[in-house]
Amino acid sequence: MKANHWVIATFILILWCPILKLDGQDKNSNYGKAPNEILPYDRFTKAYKYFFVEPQLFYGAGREIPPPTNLKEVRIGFLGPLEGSMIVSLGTQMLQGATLAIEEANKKGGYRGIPFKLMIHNDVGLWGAAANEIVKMDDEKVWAWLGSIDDIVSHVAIRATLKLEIPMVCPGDPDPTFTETAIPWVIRVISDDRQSSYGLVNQIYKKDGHSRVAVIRANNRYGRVGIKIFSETATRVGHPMVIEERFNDGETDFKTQLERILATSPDAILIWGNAKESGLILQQMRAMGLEQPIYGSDRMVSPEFLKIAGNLADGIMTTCQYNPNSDNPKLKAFQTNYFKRFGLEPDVFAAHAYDGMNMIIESINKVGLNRVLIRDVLTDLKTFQGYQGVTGKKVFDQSWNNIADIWIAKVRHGKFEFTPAPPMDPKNKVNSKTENY
Amino acid sequence: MKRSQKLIRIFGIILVLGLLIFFPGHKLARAHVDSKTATTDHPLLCTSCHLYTQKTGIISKLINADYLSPFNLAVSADGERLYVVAQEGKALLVVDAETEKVLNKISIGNQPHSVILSSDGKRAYVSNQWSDNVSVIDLTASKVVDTLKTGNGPAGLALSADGKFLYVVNSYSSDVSVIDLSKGEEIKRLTTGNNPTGIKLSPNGKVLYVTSRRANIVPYGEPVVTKLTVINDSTQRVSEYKNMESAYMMENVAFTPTGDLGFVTLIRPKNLIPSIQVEQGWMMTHGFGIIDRKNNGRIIQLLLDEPNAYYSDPFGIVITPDGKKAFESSSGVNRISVIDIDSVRALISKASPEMLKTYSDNLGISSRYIIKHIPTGANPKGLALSPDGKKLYVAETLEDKIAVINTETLETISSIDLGGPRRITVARQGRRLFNNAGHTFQDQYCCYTCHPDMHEDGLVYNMSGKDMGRNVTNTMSLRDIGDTPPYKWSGTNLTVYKQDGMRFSTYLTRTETFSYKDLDALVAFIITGIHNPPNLMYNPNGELTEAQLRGKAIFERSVDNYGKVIPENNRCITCHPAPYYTDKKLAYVSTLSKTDDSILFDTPHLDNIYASPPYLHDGRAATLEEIWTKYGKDDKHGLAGDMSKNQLNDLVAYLKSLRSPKYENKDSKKHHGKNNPN
Amino acid sequence: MVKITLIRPKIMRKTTQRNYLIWTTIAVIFLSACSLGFILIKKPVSSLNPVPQTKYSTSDNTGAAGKNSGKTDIKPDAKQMPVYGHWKTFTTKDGLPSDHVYAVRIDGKRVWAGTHDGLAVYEDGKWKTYTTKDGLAHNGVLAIDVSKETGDVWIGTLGGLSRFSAGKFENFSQFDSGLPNDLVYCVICDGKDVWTATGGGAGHYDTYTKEWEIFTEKNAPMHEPWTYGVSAGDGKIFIAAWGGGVIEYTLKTKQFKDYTDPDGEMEIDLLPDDGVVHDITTATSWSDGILWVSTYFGLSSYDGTHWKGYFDTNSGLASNFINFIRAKGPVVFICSDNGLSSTDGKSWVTYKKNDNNNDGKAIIKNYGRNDDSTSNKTTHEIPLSPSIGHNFIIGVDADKDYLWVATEKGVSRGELLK
Repeated sequence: MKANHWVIATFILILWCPILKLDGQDKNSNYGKAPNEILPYDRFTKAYKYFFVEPQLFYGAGREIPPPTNLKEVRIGFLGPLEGSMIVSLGTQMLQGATLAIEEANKKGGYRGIPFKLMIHNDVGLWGAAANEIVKMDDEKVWAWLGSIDDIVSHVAIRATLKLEIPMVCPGDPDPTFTETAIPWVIRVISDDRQSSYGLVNQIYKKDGHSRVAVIRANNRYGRVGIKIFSETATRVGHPMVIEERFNDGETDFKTQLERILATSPDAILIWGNAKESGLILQQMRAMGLEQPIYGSDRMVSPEFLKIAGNLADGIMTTCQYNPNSDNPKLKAFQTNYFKRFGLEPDVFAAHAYDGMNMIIESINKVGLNRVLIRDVLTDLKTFQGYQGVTGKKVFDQSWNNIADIWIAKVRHGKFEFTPAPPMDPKNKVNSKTENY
Repeated sequence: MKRSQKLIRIFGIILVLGLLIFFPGHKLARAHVDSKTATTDHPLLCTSCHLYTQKTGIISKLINADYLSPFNLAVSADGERLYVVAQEGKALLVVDAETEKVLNKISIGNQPHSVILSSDGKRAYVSNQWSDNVSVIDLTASKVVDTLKTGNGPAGLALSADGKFLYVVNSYSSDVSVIDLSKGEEIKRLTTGNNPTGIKLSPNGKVLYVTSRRANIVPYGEPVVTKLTVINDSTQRVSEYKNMESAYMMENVAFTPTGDLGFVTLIRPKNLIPSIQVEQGWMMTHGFGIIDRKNNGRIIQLLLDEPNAYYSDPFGIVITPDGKKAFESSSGVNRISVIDIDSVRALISKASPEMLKTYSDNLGISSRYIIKHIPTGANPKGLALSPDGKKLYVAETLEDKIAVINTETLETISSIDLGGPRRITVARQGRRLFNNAGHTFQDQYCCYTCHPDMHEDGLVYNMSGKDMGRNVTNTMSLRDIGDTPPYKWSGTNLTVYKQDGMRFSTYLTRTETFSYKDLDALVAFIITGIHNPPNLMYNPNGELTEAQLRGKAIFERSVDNYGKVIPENNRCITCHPAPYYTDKKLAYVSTLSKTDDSILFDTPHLDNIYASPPYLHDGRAATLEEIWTKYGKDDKHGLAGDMSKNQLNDLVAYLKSLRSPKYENKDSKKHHGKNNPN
Repeated sequence: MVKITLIRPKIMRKTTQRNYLIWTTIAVIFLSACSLGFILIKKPVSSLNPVPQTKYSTSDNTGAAGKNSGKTDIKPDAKQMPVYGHWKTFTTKDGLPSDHVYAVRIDGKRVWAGTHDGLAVYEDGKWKTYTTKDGLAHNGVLAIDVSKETGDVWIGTLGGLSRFSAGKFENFSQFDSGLPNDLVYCVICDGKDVWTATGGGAGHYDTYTKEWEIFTEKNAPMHEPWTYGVSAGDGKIFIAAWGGGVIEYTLKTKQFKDYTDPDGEMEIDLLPDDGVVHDITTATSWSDGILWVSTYFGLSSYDGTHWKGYFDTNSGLASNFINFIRAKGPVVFICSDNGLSSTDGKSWVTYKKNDNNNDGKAIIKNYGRNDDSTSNKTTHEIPLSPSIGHNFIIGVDADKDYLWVATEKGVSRGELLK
């Protein structure tokens, strides 16, 4: 064989390698794309049991149930904070994203000529109302549902969805434990706080070289769970947080917490909370003379934060689950249509809800009206593995958690600029200890 | 100047001065009385208000008396002894049936209700409704030998067929305690209908019937349904709940000797019909329910009432050993109605279900089975027959006497004086008026009918004037209301005088108004004689539980969960301050319904509020929770929207602990004594 | 693959220049196929967790199942472990309101079943249904218990708690009572007390005082108020708190104690015997001195001193995804998503149904765990014809003669084989 053929063959082989990744499955099969250096207990011992290494199958009945006849509408549930919550603005965006997807699908003829209908439920009722709303959705005979943002809400809702066997797509709750429940009815299309925490740890400690980081976080589950992963990861890379201060929802004066933070002389500060409080904290921090670099959680990526923080926001870095400035033509079209329809820019929840709802619609179109079959498609790790939505490529792990790469958002001249979060530890990327086990 | 002239002058000056004082003074007094009574002609007698309404002090003690108020009774197996429960006397009276003399007065608990004798006749069990226990009395030694703990408000009593278990009907907690007499311990509690009282073991010893007084709580507009609970004696479990439809206040139950028919007393309220109906008759009808046990347990209701004459407030019911006659005490009209059971059998055996339905409202049919209405002394309640069935003993509660009736001739043959005070005090007279239907159009009902135990009946009435279907209101309790004016939900009556004066007859009794003497007496009773029972269920000794203490903090809070100051007019404590938990003012709490006139509502007092469901002026809230979960979501009835479920539960726990200040004082004294042994 | 590429040049030498391109194309296709093979036939991930290496013997009468339908000749190998056969499954055809059955409870001669579309009771060979029309709080019935004292049936539904007493329902909701939340996942009677596990915390109702107590993260060692299971035993109440492990409440002292997975991580179980295997607990059951705890990740037992973890990889457990458990005497019955298992910790009996017919098998293992010191670890498969109604099991109850199972395809009843 001629040398050039060898060259061609080798070249093809080299070209072929990336095709292995075309299914979107990441090579690193550490759970949650965790770099080896932060795997829990990994330096000391192997775990007896690794969970989420294979998807939980659904062995239940129901695939044989025929679709109903004479349906006038194909109902899809929506659950979000629409009234009486501090995050109504996020819920509204999420609803609008879902609505846009439904309207577009209906323009294309719905499901075999039957229009889709969104059954809208507010998740902020009295005491655990979210779960009770899922029961109502079951009574309404929805085929699947989409929601929500607050993890308290999502967690009670998934238990109901498991009992009632309704497929659920979550576009807004980044609580890592949400999918760590092994419920085979639930997928998440937004990257979780695990990814955000890894990104932040890498940015703060490795890239920016800080070592003494103080944290001020919301005293709710969003703050608690988000910080848990950050804190564990930071500790494992050798930098335990120097202090963890908390604030309550709706709190406006953070002097006490900030004074305590000041006393620890940190070299950077991380704020984990809603946009409004984050903005106020920033203001008060600077007013008190705390000039350290500030990092934040994903909910900071909001016009509300920029408005409150004003010029002080410049230089602030947070994570974001997608890149709103991407050239992705799908995203561009979405942004245009969304603005046309609702008169405002879509936020992260609108974009992910749009993607999530489109996946539900696509599943229904593919398998018809049967909850189990819709579930099967949503969770088969094939149909939507590598799905290109407006928010980018979806990469689902074995717990149906989206572990796609996240973005670092940095404020410059009053605007967020987005860059891909660098991989945390490229050296360890392919080397997987669990695979070797 | 002559001495006489001097005297004349002095007298003259005094006279002039007296006249100068008298006329404006009289005018002032007139204005004062007029304002209090809302009339212009109430006699200007200071004593009628300022003397008879004294609740404490020496004067109060002097003008009032300690009555016995016999309530229920039992007859020994040999017929020689009567055992009479003296409700106000807090005693069991042992009476020689032959000599008609009281032999013994055995002190027992607070507000005793019922008595039952063991089959060997050696023991008596008496339920103490306000002590939450049963006194076990050794009848040979005539003393209390044991006290058995029960549920809340023990009333009716029954023994199991084998005599080993005692069933105690807990009238307030709506259940039956099953007590193992060998251990003297409660082994279980069975849920009954609402506010149960009477209980009876069937002649074959297999089942027990338990009557309920209050109806199931239903939304206004739905018909009244009250449960009759059937307990299987061998399994000691509830085997059935029978629905008594369109009826309530089933006080007692009796069986025919063969056990084929069960009889319960009942009232058929017409609360859904506007109260304007009173003039046409038909506000309340009174009768009995029959459980036709051989006929698939079908339920038939018949009336004691006749056109133009009602027999209000049935209480006791007994059936003669030959199964021929039933006696039912009509405590509101001082009569014992005699029912001919064979006639009843004849009537119901031929009747179709449709006919029976019409019978239940037919005032004309009672003549077919009522033999006689035997007159008695004031307020006949409990009934008991001699073992041979020849004598009927009637507890005349407000007479302090036992009437003895010959069951053949149906004549009163004797009256046993139990030895209560001879004089009738003003308040006692008031109580008799309260319990007597004579002041209502055709004797349809008395105050007691809608205010049983001087409390409330749990129903919502359409108290309309000319606008039918408007302003439906939940009956309010009269317990301890003397200090919590104004009255009526609208708060338009500033005094009880006004409340029970002119308007009362216009709106309610539809007869002549009470005479001023009667009104004074009635007011004296209402203000001095109606007390809240101790809150033994939720606050027996004044020491609040942890949950109640947390609830108290919420009740008294001035900042919400987010640290925001709650406006003063939106805090619980502002409108409901201790000791009565009312500021006695009118308020808007966003509860007006479409059928309500646009008015403010009187802030109700909250003592023993646990015992007064349903809640809000029109009874829309079935439970305390619903005041804030189903209603009041706009946070106008106190800020509650920020509360967690735990907090609401704590608040409700605290509200249920509220009780009359009388007990608070007593307990605080007790604690004081405890802490300072010297 | 490496070998093939080495040989290929030799073959190529004999071919014409023109064929080079063809061969290259073939090679590329071959390589592609091989690569695809790597994509599609990946190393089975389950191999990440150890598979039991035990002696596996199948009983001789396999295959005879079809012949003696309705009868199963089983001689239980496992000592003391009851084995149930003669299975009968009841579905909507027999009068159940729905085939999706959440709960089953034996009540003397009656058997209660909670389904997605109503409550059903089996009495005198017939099913009778109760729905909201009869007064039930909600048609979705998730849990049932019967008070030993009063005979009252307490029913946890998707829309509140119902008490069924002598033919009448009385309902409790989060809006009209102290019930923590209307989604009642579990209800139990313990003397005069009724305990519920709801989406808004554990609720305790004292039927004597009519008072409610709520246990949530505010007053008990839970992260969140998400409770899923509750059971009583040994003077204690054991609450399965979703994400919070097991909360133990001692009735006498009113003290709490929590048992969580000591490794604190959701994605691993560091050591199987260091505590509960996972914090996402679904049910608890106490009997004969052992507390059994189920999760969606395996089963745990606790004897008051030692915890032990059971997985499908190290024991006879049908599947790690466990919906519910109920312990009776020394045996715990485990409702998994892929079969019904029972164990006393020393041996296992697991019931399975075939995918394509009504038959199935009972798999009997005479050891508790792979690492047990028992030398002769044997497994027997015994055919059942028919078997349980479905492998997705949600509820179970047993008395001395029968085992009742709530499945996604009806209620199945097995008879104890003597």
